[in-house]
Amino acid sequence: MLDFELSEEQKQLQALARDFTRKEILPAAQRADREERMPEGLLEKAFATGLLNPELPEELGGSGLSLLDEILIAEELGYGCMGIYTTLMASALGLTPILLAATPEQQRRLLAPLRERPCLLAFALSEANNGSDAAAMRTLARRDGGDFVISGSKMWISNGGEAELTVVFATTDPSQGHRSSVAIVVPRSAPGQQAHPIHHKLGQRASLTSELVFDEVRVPAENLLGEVGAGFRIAMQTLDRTRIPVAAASVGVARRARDEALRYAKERQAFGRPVADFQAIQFKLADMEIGIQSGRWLAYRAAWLADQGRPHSAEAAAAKAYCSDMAFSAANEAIQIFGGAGYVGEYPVEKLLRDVKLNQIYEGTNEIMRVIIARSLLRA
Amino acid sequence: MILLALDGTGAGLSRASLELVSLGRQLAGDSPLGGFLIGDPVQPLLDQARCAVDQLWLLRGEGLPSTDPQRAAQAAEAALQAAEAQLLLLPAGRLGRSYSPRLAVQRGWALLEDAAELQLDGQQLSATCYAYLGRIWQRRSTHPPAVVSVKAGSVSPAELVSVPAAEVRVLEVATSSPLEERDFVGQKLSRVPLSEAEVVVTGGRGLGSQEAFAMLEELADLLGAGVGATRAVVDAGWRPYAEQVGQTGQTVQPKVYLAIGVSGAVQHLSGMNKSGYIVAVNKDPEAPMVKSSDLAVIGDLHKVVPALIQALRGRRD
Amino acid sequence: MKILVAVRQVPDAESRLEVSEGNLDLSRASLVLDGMDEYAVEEALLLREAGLEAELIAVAVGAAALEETLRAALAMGLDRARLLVGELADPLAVARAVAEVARDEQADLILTGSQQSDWDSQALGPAIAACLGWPQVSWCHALQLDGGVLRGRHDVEGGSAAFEVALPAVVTTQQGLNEPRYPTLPNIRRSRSKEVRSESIPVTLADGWQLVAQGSAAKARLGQRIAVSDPQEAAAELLSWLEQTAKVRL
Repeated sequence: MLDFELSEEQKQLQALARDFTRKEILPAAQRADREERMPEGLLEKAFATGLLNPELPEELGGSGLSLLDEILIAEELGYGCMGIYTTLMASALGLTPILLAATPEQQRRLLAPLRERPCLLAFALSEANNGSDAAAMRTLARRDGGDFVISGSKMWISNGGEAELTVVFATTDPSQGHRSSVAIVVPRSAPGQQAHPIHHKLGQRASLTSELVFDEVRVPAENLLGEVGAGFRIAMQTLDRTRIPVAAASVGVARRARDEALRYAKERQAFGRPVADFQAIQFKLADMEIGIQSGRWLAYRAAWLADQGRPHSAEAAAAKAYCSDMAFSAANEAIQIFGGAGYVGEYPVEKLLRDVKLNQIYEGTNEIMRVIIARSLLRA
Repeated sequence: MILLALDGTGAGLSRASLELVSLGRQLAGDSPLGGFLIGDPVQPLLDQARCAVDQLWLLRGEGLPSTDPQRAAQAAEAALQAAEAQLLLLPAGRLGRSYSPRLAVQRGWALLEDAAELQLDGQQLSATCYAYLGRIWQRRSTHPPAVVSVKAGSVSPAELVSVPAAEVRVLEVATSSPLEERDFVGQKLSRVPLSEAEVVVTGGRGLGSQEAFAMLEELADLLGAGVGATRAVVDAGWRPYAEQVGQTGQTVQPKVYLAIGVSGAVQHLSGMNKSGYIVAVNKDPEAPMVKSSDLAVIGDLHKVVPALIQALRGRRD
Repeated sequence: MKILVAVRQVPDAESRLEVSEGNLDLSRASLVLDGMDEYAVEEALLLREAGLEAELIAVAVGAAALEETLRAALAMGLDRARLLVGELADPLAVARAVAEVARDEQADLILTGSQQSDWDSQALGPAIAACLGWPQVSWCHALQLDGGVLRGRHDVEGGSAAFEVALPAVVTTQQGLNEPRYPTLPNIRRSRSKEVRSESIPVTLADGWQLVAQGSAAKARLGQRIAVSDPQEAAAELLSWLEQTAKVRL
């Protein structure tokens, strides 16, 4: 049996996220983009409202949202500003490996601050010379008595330097590939870390992206997630989940592009009537709508599979690739509908395109998504 | 009998009362029209009231007149009983709208609020009322006896030509209320009241500061206009609440509404979107106010408003 | 002590409303807790947070779908809810039903919004008060409760006044009274277990008003624009427009 109806509680979550977007994100997004930083006080408000790290389990004082619940929020916040949402989403990305692989003792110890104050987390996998090829990483984690000592650098890390906790993926022996990969939780307080913010990004400028440099950073071995050799698997399992919010947030961007384009098309006159009267414009709007509807269900189903504890790797990849490509195209067509006005910063549509471009790249490029999907087909 | 809740100042009946009189006459036809005044009216007001209706009740008593809906409802109740009225018309102001539901419940009468285009057709009473924050009009129908609060400006005020003829009866009314009110702060309106102004100039957050309202006041004076404010401006403490236009403030319907630096939230639009012409001055062509306007001047208000003032002064000289 | 908060469900202020053949199409509108009622919910919570021992009960009258709105009020922090399901299209009828609940619950204070943004009515609070024979304080923008006595300020004809009134009473709320909180995510989760008691009530439309016809009140606007390059020119253009189009005597 199929049932497409959200529960009352899910509708409330959605309404809360929509309300939050309207009151806190939409009015602040343009400026955040211009100033390359998160709006003042937004994280505190998100925390007070429960929208920061909502996956934190109830037994740890959180809300324990399912992935389906979470992506309802992702779509709404993505509608408001992809850059701002990325800050929250990247925190979930840092939290997920701890939820997947940490022992209950580790979770209690590491995650205690999350219920007390607004904390960001980060996920440090990519390196300058290997983004999608995660097994080729160079960052070294050397065992020294009861500690790991980390050296190396990580690239394009969202929330890098601001995060309270960063899950750093490293290798204990670069010659051993996956078999020596580790995931270690590094607190911000551990000495030897440097963060270099990356400026002048194409889009998502509200979110902080940094290069992280680790110079003999000493972390107790109790912060190791799983065992030595599990790092790569933990990273992949994490991304299988967190790609689904990327998909849903992309649907939010596409919805925004549709709404902006629709509004403009009804007002903008050409040849004595609104441009919405022309089929060339109508078809663009209809294609956006087709993309939004289909993308949303892909994301919902992938999340539902994950919540059921069923395999969802290929579905998550399909949702992420489809939704981000679809949203990029929707933003692109929205600019086309706006014409010259869409190309300048006075209207929000050019920002949508700049922002959503990253959705095709991060958490695995859309090419890698297709590799995952193809592998799953060929394996069957 | 149709009974009117009248009020006024030293100079005579209020505009709202004169509107009630013309509506009351329309509905009453040849039947006598009644009215009441609460408190001790000065002579000009009494004279006008005696021209306006055929029978006049003066309601006197300790604590009257009062802004307390408890007392107002008790006083009106006494007049309704004395007049054996079947229909009470009162102005849809803050007081009228807060005590009319009490009366309706106490008497088991029907209630129509903020009614325009009122019609009485035998046993059918109907009116046009706005709904959904003024976005929808509705024709609502009920049966007398009824209490009706009448929308300001929905009929032309009566022109009183006759001699003071109405018979005056004084009713001593003992009212009581558990509510104690004090520290009344009145609206200080140096200009035309917003509800009566032909032109309203409203400033929004786009003005940027409390000081910038000085130029808005000057513009309003040159245009003979009332000054309005948005909720954001009132919330910021730049202007008094009395000037607020919108859902929680006043509803205005001037001939021309000039919105200066007003973005146009739905709650604001609901308070002014029945205006004859809407003119927006705004730098944002996407602002909802711009989209709801007859004429939008897209540019910096800090340049446009001084230029307007200069041009108007030039015409004066 | 018990505080009753009467809430209503209305289309979101941003929703598009369309009337076709006399019927208002709300199927695409999102229905939300009336903005004016949010102040009432918040105020009940604030009174308790200020130290009052009280049970906070939301009450709504109308369609079964109102449960969603009651859940929103519970998610903001009210304790439980009463839902009276019936087809009631008139503020006085709703007021009578709310008054029944107030008697049943032996409530001490009733809070509700000053205006209902679907009917554009201001009658609900005063009518509830009249049904119960209680005093009303309309358009309240400052409130405190001290030993069974309410004190605060509210808007009255021509200005505003301080007030004092002993319970029981009905207070209608508005902007300025407080800043309504979000129904936070943990509270949404917690509200799952809160009680919404639903019962149906008989239809009583006899003495209310009935809707005969309706339509969109949107006025077609001219949509003319002046893009300012020279402020003096723009001002002159605007003034001549006022004279010629709007017929204002300058």
